[in-house]
Amino acid sequence: MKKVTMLCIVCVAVLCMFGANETYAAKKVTFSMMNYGDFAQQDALLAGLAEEFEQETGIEVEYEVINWSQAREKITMWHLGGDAPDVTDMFWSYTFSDMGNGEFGTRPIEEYLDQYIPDFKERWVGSSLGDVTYKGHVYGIPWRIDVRPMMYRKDFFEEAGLDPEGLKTWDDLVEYGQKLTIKDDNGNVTRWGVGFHDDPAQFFYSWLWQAGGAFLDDTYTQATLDTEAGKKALQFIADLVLKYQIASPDNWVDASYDPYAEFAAGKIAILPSASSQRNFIEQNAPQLQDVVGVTAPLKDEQQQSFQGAGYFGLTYQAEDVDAAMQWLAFLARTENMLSLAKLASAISPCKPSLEDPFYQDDWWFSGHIKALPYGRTTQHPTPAWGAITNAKPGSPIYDMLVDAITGSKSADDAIAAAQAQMQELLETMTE
Amino acid sequence: MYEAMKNISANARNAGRSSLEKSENIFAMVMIAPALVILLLLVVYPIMSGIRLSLFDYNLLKPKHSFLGLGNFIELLKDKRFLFIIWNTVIFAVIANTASTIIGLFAAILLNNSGKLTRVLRGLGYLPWITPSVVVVFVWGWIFSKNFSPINALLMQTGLIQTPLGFLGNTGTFLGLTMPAWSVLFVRTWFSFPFKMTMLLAALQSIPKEQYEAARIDGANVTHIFWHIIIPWILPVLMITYSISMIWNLTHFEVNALLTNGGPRGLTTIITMFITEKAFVHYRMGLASAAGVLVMILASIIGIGYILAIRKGEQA
Repeated sequence: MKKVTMLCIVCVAVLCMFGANETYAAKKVTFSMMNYGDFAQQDALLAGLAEEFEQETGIEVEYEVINWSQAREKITMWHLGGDAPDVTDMFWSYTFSDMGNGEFGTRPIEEYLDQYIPDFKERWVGSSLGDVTYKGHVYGIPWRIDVRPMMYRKDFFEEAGLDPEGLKTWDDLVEYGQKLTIKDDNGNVTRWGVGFHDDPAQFFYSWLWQAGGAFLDDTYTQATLDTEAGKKALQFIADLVLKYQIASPDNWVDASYDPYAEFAAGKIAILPSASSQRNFIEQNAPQLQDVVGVTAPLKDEQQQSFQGAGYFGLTYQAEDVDAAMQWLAFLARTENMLSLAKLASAISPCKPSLEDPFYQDDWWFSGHIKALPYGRTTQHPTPAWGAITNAKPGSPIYDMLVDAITGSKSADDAIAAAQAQMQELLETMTE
Repeated sequence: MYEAMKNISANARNAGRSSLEKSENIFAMVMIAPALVILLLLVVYPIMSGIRLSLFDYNLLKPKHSFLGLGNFIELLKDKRFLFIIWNTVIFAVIANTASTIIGLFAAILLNNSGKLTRVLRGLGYLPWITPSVVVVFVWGWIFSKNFSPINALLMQTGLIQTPLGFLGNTGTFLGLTMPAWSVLFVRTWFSFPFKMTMLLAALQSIPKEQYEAARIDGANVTHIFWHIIIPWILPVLMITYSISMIWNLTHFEVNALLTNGGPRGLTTIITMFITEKAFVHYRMGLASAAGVLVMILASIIGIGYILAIRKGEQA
């Protein structure tokens, strides 16, 4: 009799455990984020957010911090059917949503936005929506954004009697560049008026868009480099080096040439399309904080610059969509967006958070914010993107720019060759 | 009767010996088996797998991988860029290997004594070899940078040059190669000569002193000793060192990739960089494997040449 009683107790206990586990699972959200800044700080922030969320909703958040070195592989695996967290930090929404093919990884959330984050479109910087909007779907909430602003030396401008506010167009750039370029007695340039970006493709996007061009057609299958806008952009870049001689011919040709080191050393006056140099300058050349100006990109036909953003997305692997969306909405609160962006020393695309003194009083961010409205994303809309934009010899954009600025090909010939090579890659890699 | 007894006894002895030999063979096979399995798994399987991949249109972006036969090889051999890269690879390998062998040999001869200073110099000589290549290339990248190079600063301060030299960007040629190519060759030579020095120093130390003494008594000068004693004595070591190093040079990656990134304009791109690009940027594993197989064939030719030369030497 005792044995039967014991057996019953054990069975009830097991059933209770399963029951409890079911309830428990329904009240839990899994979340992952790449590592940003100090690990302990990030852990403390996530623990605090998870605790606050659980107190409000009763839903537990199980979070994981992923090292950046594993990020791409992990995200790829999630989109190929691997076990993914319910909500996660991601990038390249275009590539990965295509890869997941409506079955795995990042899932559209537009049908949930009205219920959970009704003010999403109003509260976010318009350009950042491009990073998560693809083929008519919204794939997540951008939480950090990086636009390539224009960076310049205020002290050099002052010395040459130039007003930074007067630098708006390509023609202005030539005029300012000529006044800021200095040569020594032997004719060697000791300071270039203009410098390029270290990544040729990211550099060229901005100029192409400013000229009114595009990389690909709307189907993302046809290269559209070889147009009047494309030729104009490439010719202008080549002219900065060969005709006006206000930009160094070593860009992309000499592997040791680092435009940011040159800029920090006072050998370049203007970087029209610069990646974020806030940490580099604060750590390596803090004296420059007072003399570096950061502002909006240039304008030709239009005013645009390359932009990238990271976003929090919901995955198809999430079983409890309501719990996951509640967590996503919680993260999307202005104060949480700000905390997360501060952790990553990044700009938040959530407009109200940009009013915070963290951005308004900062020597870099206060200028960088001016570039935000002009950001335009690429988000890798084709699997051939990496091959097309690879910053090495043999890749279309790299070869095109090097051929043009060294004068080994005319801009027209260089862009025609790049167009053909790009189209071949699009066809061979995506057929 | 006696003969019959003897035969039985001999048969028994033979049977015993054969049984012993058999058990020894089994024991030897058991002992070799783990190493053999590891060799099969880590060396033979990847090679065979690579050869198999080279026959397919194995693209990571495509769900189906069709059989191409020699299609990948034909595509490669029709590609002018690939042929230029193969040429580059061979030129870099031959010059870097020959230069480092010559420098290594003379360094070994200079250090072939037992003085205290020599021992210190030997230790210093190994430094390039034991320093991580990434660090070596980073330091040389700074030394060769156009605007921050201490060489350029020195040359300009002394008035020897008026314009800084573009060690990694100047595409003008000298002796048929560009300055970035010479810079890469310099670093590769600097990086690999200690290995040659170590091997050849060991070979030099095996030459009996009597050989030198007898040669000097016969009136031989330094040149005679070098050509008629040192070279014949160390030739087998010299050959194996050169051959092994040539294979390493053909599959070299880091200096070209990190110092010049294959530039300017692809002039320093070598086969390993091409393979990396095809495999991990274009996701064309089949084509990358085919390029790898071609490198393997090239390296095998050197290996076979070395074996034939050794055999010829032994027969002579």
